[in-house]
Amino acid sequence: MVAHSRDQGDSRAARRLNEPRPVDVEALEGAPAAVGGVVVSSLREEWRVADRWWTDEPVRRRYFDLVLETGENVAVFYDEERERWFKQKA
Amino acid sequence: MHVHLGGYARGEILIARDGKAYKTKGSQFIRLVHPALEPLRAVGVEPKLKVVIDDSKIIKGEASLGEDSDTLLEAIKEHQQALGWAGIDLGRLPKPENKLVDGRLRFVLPKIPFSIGKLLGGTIAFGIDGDTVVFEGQATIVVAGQKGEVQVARDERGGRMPRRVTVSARLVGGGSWRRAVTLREPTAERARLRQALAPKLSELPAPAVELRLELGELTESVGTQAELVRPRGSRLRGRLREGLRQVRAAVGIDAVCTVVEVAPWSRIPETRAILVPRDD
Repeated sequence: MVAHSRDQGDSRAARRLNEPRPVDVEALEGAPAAVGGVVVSSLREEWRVADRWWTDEPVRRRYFDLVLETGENVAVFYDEERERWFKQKA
Repeated sequence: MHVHLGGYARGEILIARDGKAYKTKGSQFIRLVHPALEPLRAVGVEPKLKVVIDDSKIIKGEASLGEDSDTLLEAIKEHQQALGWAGIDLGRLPKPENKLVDGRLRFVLPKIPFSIGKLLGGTIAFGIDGDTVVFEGQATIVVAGQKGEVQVARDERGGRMPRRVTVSARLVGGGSWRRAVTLREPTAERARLRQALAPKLSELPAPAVELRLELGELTESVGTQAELVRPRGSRLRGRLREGLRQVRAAVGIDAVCTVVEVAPWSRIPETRAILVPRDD
Protein backbone atom coordinates (compact mmCIF):
# COMPACT_ATOMS: atom_id res chain seq x y z
CA MET A 1 0.00 0.00 0.00
CA VAL A 2 1.39 3.41 -0.91
CA ALA A 3 0.76 6.32 1.43
CA HIS A 4 0.24 9.87 0.27
CA SER A 5 3.35 12.01 -0.04
CA ARG A 6 1.97 14.56 2.44
CA ASP A 7 2.84 12.06 5.15
CA GLN A 8 6.54 12.23 4.36
CA GLY A 9 7.26 14.21 7.48
CA ASP A 10 5.81 11.51 9.77
CA SER A 11 9.05 9.73 10.55
CA ARG A 12 8.05 6.06 10.44
CA ALA A 13 5.08 6.55 12.76
CA ALA A 14 2.18 4.11 12.72
CA ARG A 15 -1.01 5.78 11.51
CA ARG A 16 -4.66 4.98 12.02
CA LEU A 17 -6.69 3.72 9.13
CA ASN A 18 -10.21 4.80 8.24
CA GLU A 19 -10.24 8.02 10.24
CA PRO A 20 -13.65 9.78 10.13
CA ARG A 21 -13.84 12.76 7.80
CA PRO A 22 -16.19 15.69 8.41
CA VAL A 23 -19.05 15.90 5.92
CA ASP A 24 -22.00 18.22 5.30
CA VAL A 25 -25.25 16.48 6.10
CA GLU A 26 -28.78 17.89 5.91
CA ALA A 27 -30.83 16.07 8.51
CA LEU A 28 -34.57 15.72 9.02
CA GLU A 29 -35.67 14.62 12.47
CA GLY A 30 -32.13 13.36 13.19
CA ALA A 31 -31.79 11.23 10.03
CA PRO A 32 -29.73 12.29 6.97
CA ALA A 33 -31.74 13.67 4.04
CA ALA A 34 -28.74 14.71 1.92
CA VAL A 35 -24.97 14.06 2.15
CA GLY A 36 -22.62 16.57 0.54
CA GLY A 37 -25.58 18.05 -1.30
CA VAL A 38 -26.66 14.69 -2.74
CA VAL A 39 -30.14 13.51 -1.75
CA VAL A 40 -30.41 10.29 0.22
CA SER A 41 -32.33 7.70 -1.75
CA SER A 42 -32.74 5.09 0.97
CA LEU A 43 -31.65 4.23 4.49
CA ARG A 44 -30.30 0.69 4.60
CA GLU A 45 -29.35 0.39 8.25
CA GLU A 46 -28.97 2.42 11.40
CA TRP A 47 -27.11 1.63 14.63
CA ARG A 48 -25.58 3.28 17.67
CA VAL A 49 -22.09 2.99 19.11
CA ALA A 50 -21.53 3.93 22.73
CA ASP A 51 -18.05 3.15 23.95
CA ARG A 52 -15.32 4.43 26.23
CA TRP A 53 -17.95 6.03 28.42
CA TRP A 54 -15.65 5.38 31.35
CA THR A 55 -12.90 7.61 29.88
CA ASP A 56 -12.39 11.32 29.31
CA GLU A 57 -13.04 10.72 25.61
CA PRO A 58 -16.32 8.84 25.41
CA VAL A 59 -17.65 7.76 22.02
CA ARG A 60 -21.33 8.27 21.25
CA ARG A 61 -22.19 7.89 17.58
CA ARG A 62 -25.28 7.25 15.55
CA TYR A 63 -24.39 5.50 12.30
CA PHE A 64 -26.45 5.49 9.08
CA ASP A 65 -25.76 3.23 6.10
CA LEU A 66 -27.21 5.08 3.13
CA VAL A 67 -27.73 4.83 -0.60
CA LEU A 68 -27.56 8.20 -2.31
CA GLU A 69 -29.51 9.36 -5.32
CA THR A 70 -26.40 8.79 -7.45
CA GLY A 71 -26.35 5.11 -6.41
CA GLU A 72 -23.34 5.59 -4.12
CA ASN A 73 -23.33 3.67 -0.87
CA VAL A 74 -22.02 5.74 2.08
CA ALA A 75 -21.88 5.45 5.83
CA VAL A 76 -22.12 8.56 7.97
CA PHE A 77 -22.49 9.10 11.67
CA TYR A 78 -23.54 11.86 13.96
CA ASP A 79 -21.02 12.39 16.73
CA GLU A 80 -23.13 13.26 19.75
CA GLU A 81 -20.06 14.37 21.72
CA ARG A 82 -18.78 16.80 19.10
CA GLU A 83 -22.22 17.44 17.60
CA ARG A 84 -20.94 17.03 14.06
CA TRP A 85 -21.48 14.72 11.09
CA PHE A 86 -18.69 12.48 9.77
CA LYS A 87 -18.26 10.11 6.87
CA GLN A 88 -16.56 6.78 7.47
CA LYS A 89 -16.36 3.28 6.00
CA ALA A 90 -18.18 1.37 8.67
CA MET B 1 39.08 -50.20 14.98
CA HIS B 2 39.11 -47.92 11.98
CA VAL B 3 40.69 -44.51 12.59
CA HIS B 4 40.11 -41.63 10.22
CA LEU B 5 41.73 -38.27 11.02
CA GLY B 6 40.59 -35.52 8.70
CA GLY B 7 41.74 -36.23 5.18
CA TYR B 8 45.37 -36.80 6.16
CA ALA B 9 45.51 -40.10 8.07
CA ARG B 10 43.54 -43.31 8.15
CA GLY B 11 43.92 -46.97 8.97
CA GLU B 12 43.13 -49.77 11.38
CA ILE B 13 44.42 -49.98 14.93
CA LEU B 14 44.08 -52.73 17.52
CA ILE B 15 42.52 -51.78 20.81
CA ALA B 16 41.92 -53.81 23.93
CA ARG B 17 39.33 -53.35 26.63
CA ASP B 18 40.77 -52.56 30.02
CA GLY B 19 37.94 -52.24 32.52
CA LYS B 20 35.73 -49.47 31.24
CA ALA B 21 38.43 -47.97 29.02
CA TYR B 22 39.91 -48.95 25.69
CA LYS B 23 43.65 -48.80 25.13
CA THR B 24 46.04 -49.55 22.35
CA LYS B 25 48.51 -52.30 23.00
CA GLY B 26 51.74 -50.36 22.59
CA SER B 27 51.97 -48.09 19.56
CA GLN B 28 49.79 -48.55 16.52
CA PHE B 29 50.47 -47.08 13.10
CA ILE B 30 48.14 -45.75 10.43
CA ARG B 31 48.99 -44.32 7.04
CA LEU B 32 49.66 -40.62 6.61
CA VAL B 33 47.99 -39.86 3.31
CA HIS B 34 48.41 -36.09 3.23
CA PRO B 35 49.06 -34.96 -0.39
CA ALA B 36 52.01 -32.85 0.77
CA LEU B 37 53.85 -36.07 1.63
CA GLU B 38 53.41 -37.50 -1.86
CA PRO B 39 57.03 -36.72 -2.96
CA LEU B 40 58.29 -38.92 -0.12
CA ARG B 41 55.94 -41.76 -1.03
CA ALA B 42 57.10 -41.45 -4.64
CA VAL B 43 60.64 -42.37 -3.55
CA GLY B 44 59.49 -45.27 -1.40
CA VAL B 45 59.31 -43.54 1.99
CA GLU B 46 55.99 -44.29 3.64
CA PRO B 47 55.24 -41.78 6.44
CA LYS B 48 52.98 -43.13 9.18
CA LEU B 49 51.14 -41.75 12.16
CA LYS B 50 51.96 -43.41 15.46
CA VAL B 51 48.81 -43.64 17.55
CA VAL B 52 48.62 -44.39 21.26
CA ILE B 53 45.57 -44.53 23.50
CA ASP B 54 46.53 -44.92 27.15
CA ASP B 55 44.90 -44.39 30.53
CA SER B 56 44.14 -40.79 29.67
CA LYS B 57 41.72 -42.10 26.98
CA ILE B 58 43.11 -39.46 24.64
CA ILE B 59 44.56 -40.36 21.27
CA LYS B 60 48.19 -39.26 21.23
CA GLY B 61 50.76 -39.68 18.55
CA GLU B 62 53.26 -38.32 16.10
CA ALA B 63 54.43 -38.67 12.54
CA SER B 64 56.99 -41.41 12.04
CA LEU B 65 58.23 -44.13 9.77
CA GLY B 66 56.89 -46.88 11.95
CA GLU B 67 59.51 -47.17 14.66
CA ASP B 68 61.17 -43.90 15.47
CA SER B 69 60.02 -40.40 14.63
CA ASP B 70 63.62 -39.31 14.06
CA THR B 71 63.87 -41.62 11.10
CA LEU B 72 61.26 -39.55 9.28
CA LEU B 73 63.52 -36.52 9.59
CA GLU B 74 66.43 -38.62 8.36
CA ALA B 75 64.34 -39.74 5.38
CA ILE B 76 63.53 -36.13 4.59
CA LYS B 77 67.23 -35.27 4.68
CA GLU B 78 68.10 -38.28 2.57
CA HIS B 79 65.57 -37.48 -0.12
CA GLN B 80 66.05 -33.75 -0.33
CA GLN B 81 66.43 -33.91 -4.10
CA ALA B 82 63.06 -35.61 -4.42
CA LEU B 83 61.53 -32.92 -2.25
CA GLY B 84 63.13 -30.23 -4.38
CA TRP B 85 64.64 -28.47 -1.39
CA ALA B 86 67.40 -26.65 -3.19
CA GLY B 87 69.46 -24.31 -1.10
CA ILE B 88 68.33 -25.71 2.24
CA ASP B 89 71.11 -26.35 4.71
CA LEU B 90 70.20 -29.82 5.92
CA GLY B 91 72.99 -29.71 8.47
CA ARG B 92 71.03 -27.04 10.28
CA LEU B 93 67.65 -28.72 9.90
CA PRO B 94 65.80 -28.11 13.18
CA LYS B 95 63.92 -30.76 15.11
CA PRO B 96 60.34 -30.69 13.91
CA GLU B 97 57.25 -29.98 15.95
CA ASN B 98 55.64 -33.39 15.86
CA LYS B 99 52.57 -33.98 17.96
CA LEU B 100 49.04 -35.30 17.58
CA VAL B 101 46.70 -33.18 19.70
CA ASP B 102 42.90 -33.43 19.64
CA GLY B 103 43.01 -35.57 16.54
CA ARG B 104 45.15 -33.07 14.67
CA LEU B 105 48.71 -33.82 13.72
CA ARG B 106 51.08 -30.89 13.58
CA PHE B 107 54.31 -31.87 11.86
CA VAL B 108 56.20 -28.70 11.08
CA LEU B 109 59.84 -28.03 10.42
CA PRO B 110 60.21 -24.58 11.96
CA LYS B 111 62.44 -21.90 10.46
CA ILE B 112 64.67 -23.93 8.17
CA PRO B 113 67.59 -21.76 7.10
CA PHE B 114 68.19 -21.57 3.36
CA SER B 115 70.22 -19.56 0.91
CA ILE B 116 70.55 -19.28 -2.83
CA GLY B 117 74.07 -18.03 -3.47
CA LYS B 118 74.39 -14.46 -2.29
CA LEU B 119 71.11 -13.50 -3.91
CA LEU B 120 68.62 -14.81 -1.39
CA GLY B 121 68.81 -15.96 2.21
CA GLY B 122 66.32 -16.49 5.01
CA THR B 123 64.21 -19.04 6.80
CA ILE B 124 61.21 -21.07 5.83
CA ALA B 125 58.76 -23.14 7.88
CA PHE B 126 57.11 -26.08 6.20
CA GLY B 127 54.90 -28.95 7.25
CA ILE B 128 51.35 -30.08 7.79
CA ASP B 129 48.84 -29.05 10.40
CA GLY B 130 45.92 -31.42 10.15
CA ASP B 131 44.73 -31.16 6.57
CA THR B 132 46.44 -27.81 6.08
CA VAL B 133 49.88 -27.20 4.63
CA VAL B 134 52.01 -24.84 6.67
CA PHE B 135 54.26 -22.74 4.46
CA GLU B 136 55.75 -19.52 5.71
CA GLY B 137 59.01 -17.87 4.95
CA GLN B 138 60.96 -14.67 5.03
CA ALA B 139 64.12 -13.79 3.22
CA THR B 140 66.46 -11.00 2.33
CA ILE B 141 67.08 -10.53 -1.36
CA VAL B 142 70.14 -8.68 -2.56
CA VAL B 143 70.20 -7.28 -6.09
CA ALA B 144 72.97 -4.98 -7.27
CA GLY B 145 73.91 -4.12 -3.70
CA GLN B 146 70.33 -3.22 -2.73
CA LYS B 147 68.57 -5.23 -0.01
CA GLY B 148 64.90 -6.08 0.09
CA GLU B 149 62.76 -8.13 2.44
CA VAL B 150 60.51 -10.86 1.09
CA GLN B 151 57.77 -12.64 3.00
CA VAL B 152 55.79 -15.55 1.67
CA ALA B 153 52.90 -17.49 3.19
CA ARG B 154 50.43 -20.02 1.99
CA ASP B 155 46.91 -18.79 1.38
CA GLU B 156 45.33 -20.27 4.49
CA ARG B 157 41.92 -19.16 3.35
CA GLY B 158 42.04 -21.95 0.80
CA GLY B 159 38.98 -20.81 -1.11
CA ARG B 160 36.93 -20.44 2.04
CA MET B 161 34.91 -17.29 2.56
CA PRO B 162 34.87 -15.03 5.61
CA ARG B 163 31.68 -14.39 7.54
CA ARG B 164 33.32 -11.75 9.69
CA VAL B 165 35.84 -9.13 8.61
CA THR B 166 37.78 -6.93 10.98
CA VAL B 167 39.65 -3.84 9.91
CA SER B 168 42.11 -2.37 12.37
CA ALA B 169 44.57 0.49 12.23
CA ARG B 170 47.57 1.85 14.02
CA LEU B 171 47.05 5.56 14.29
CA VAL B 172 49.41 8.47 14.12
CA GLY B 173 50.42 9.22 17.68
CA GLY B 174 50.32 5.61 18.82
CA GLY B 175 46.62 4.86 19.25
CA SER B 176 44.83 1.92 17.75
CA TRP B 177 41.40 1.48 16.18
CA ARG B 178 39.35 -1.56 15.29
CA ARG B 179 35.96 -2.27 13.72
CA ALA B 180 34.37 -5.63 12.92
CA VAL B 181 31.74 -6.29 10.29
CA THR B 182 29.62 -9.43 10.20
CA LEU B 183 28.66 -10.13 6.63
CA ARG B 184 25.12 -11.06 5.81
CA GLU B 185 26.43 -13.76 3.50
CA PRO B 186 30.00 -15.07 3.56
CA THR B 187 31.94 -13.65 0.63
CA ALA B 188 35.47 -13.15 -0.57
CA GLU B 189 34.50 -10.85 -3.42
CA ARG B 190 36.64 -7.77 -3.31
CA ALA B 191 33.84 -5.41 -4.34
CA ARG B 192 31.44 -6.64 -1.68
CA LEU B 193 34.09 -6.54 1.04
CA ARG B 194 34.97 -3.02 -0.01
CA GLN B 195 31.30 -2.08 0.14
CA ALA B 196 31.05 -3.47 3.68
CA LEU B 197 34.26 -1.94 4.97
CA ALA B 198 34.40 1.46 3.29
CA PRO B 199 31.82 3.03 5.65
CA LYS B 200 33.84 1.80 8.62
CA LEU B 201 37.01 3.43 7.33
CA SER B 202 35.24 6.76 7.34
CA GLU B 203 35.04 6.38 11.14
CA LEU B 204 38.82 6.46 11.50
CA PRO B 205 39.46 9.07 14.20
CA ALA B 206 42.96 9.99 12.99
CA PRO B 207 45.37 9.33 10.13
CA ALA B 208 46.55 5.72 10.07
CA VAL B 209 50.12 4.57 9.66
CA GLU B 210 49.10 0.94 9.25
CA LEU B 211 45.90 -0.80 8.21
CA ARG B 212 45.23 -4.48 8.78
CA LEU B 213 42.47 -6.69 7.48
CA GLU B 214 41.53 -9.84 9.34
CA LEU B 215 39.21 -12.50 7.96
CA GLY B 216 37.34 -14.51 10.53
CA GLU B 217 34.83 -17.32 10.80
CA LEU B 218 35.77 -18.84 7.47
CA THR B 219 33.06 -20.99 5.96
CA GLU B 220 33.82 -24.33 4.36
CA SER B 221 34.53 -24.20 0.67
CA VAL B 222 31.44 -25.94 -0.60
CA GLY B 223 30.93 -23.63 -3.54
CA THR B 224 27.74 -21.95 -4.57
CA GLN B 225 24.95 -24.19 -5.66
CA ALA B 226 23.14 -22.85 -8.64
CA GLU B 227 19.38 -23.20 -8.86
CA LEU B 228 18.20 -25.67 -11.43
CA VAL B 229 14.78 -24.08 -11.57
CA ARG B 230 14.12 -20.53 -10.60
CA PRO B 231 11.64 -20.33 -7.67
CA ARG B 232 8.13 -19.54 -8.81
CA GLY B 233 7.40 -15.83 -8.70
CA SER B 234 10.98 -14.83 -7.90
CA ARG B 235 11.20 -12.49 -10.90
CA LEU B 236 7.95 -10.79 -9.95
CA ARG B 237 9.08 -10.45 -6.33
CA GLY B 238 12.36 -8.95 -7.50
CA ARG B 239 10.56 -6.39 -9.64
CA LEU B 240 8.15 -5.59 -6.84
CA ARG B 241 11.02 -5.13 -4.38
CA GLU B 242 12.75 -2.81 -6.83
CA GLY B 243 9.51 -0.88 -7.34
CA LEU B 244 9.06 -0.43 -3.60
CA ARG B 245 12.68 0.67 -3.29
CA GLN B 246 12.10 3.34 -5.91
CA VAL B 247 8.90 4.53 -4.25
CA ARG B 248 10.74 4.88 -0.93
CA ALA B 249 13.56 6.75 -2.63
CA ALA B 250 11.13 9.13 -4.32
CA VAL B 251 8.57 9.69 -1.57
CA GLY B 252 10.18 8.78 1.72
CA ILE B 253 11.07 5.78 3.85
CA ASP B 254 7.59 5.50 5.31
CA ALA B 255 5.87 5.77 1.95
CA VAL B 256 5.36 2.02 1.74
CA CYS B 257 3.21 0.71 4.54
CA THR B 258 1.42 -2.42 5.57
CA VAL B 259 -1.94 -2.74 7.31
CA VAL B 260 -1.79 -4.29 10.78
CA GLU B 261 -5.01 -5.25 12.49
CA VAL B 262 -4.80 -4.25 16.15
CA ALA B 263 -8.40 -4.50 17.32
CA PRO B 264 -10.53 -6.05 14.57
CA TRP B 265 -13.35 -6.62 17.04
CA SER B 266 -13.62 -2.93 17.93
CA ARG B 267 -16.93 -1.15 17.39
CA ILE B 268 -14.99 2.01 16.56
CA PRO B 269 -13.84 1.54 12.94
CA GLU B 270 -10.72 3.77 13.08
CA THR B 271 -9.20 1.70 15.93
CA ARG B 272 -9.41 -1.65 14.16
CA ALA B 273 -6.23 -1.34 12.06
CA ILE B 274 -3.17 0.83 11.70
CA LEU B 275 -0.73 1.58 8.90
CA VAL B 276 2.86 0.65 9.70
CA PRO B 277 5.87 1.42 7.46
CA ARG B 278 7.27 -1.73 5.83
CA ASP B 279 10.92 -2.60 6.28
CA ASP B 280 11.39 -5.16 3.49
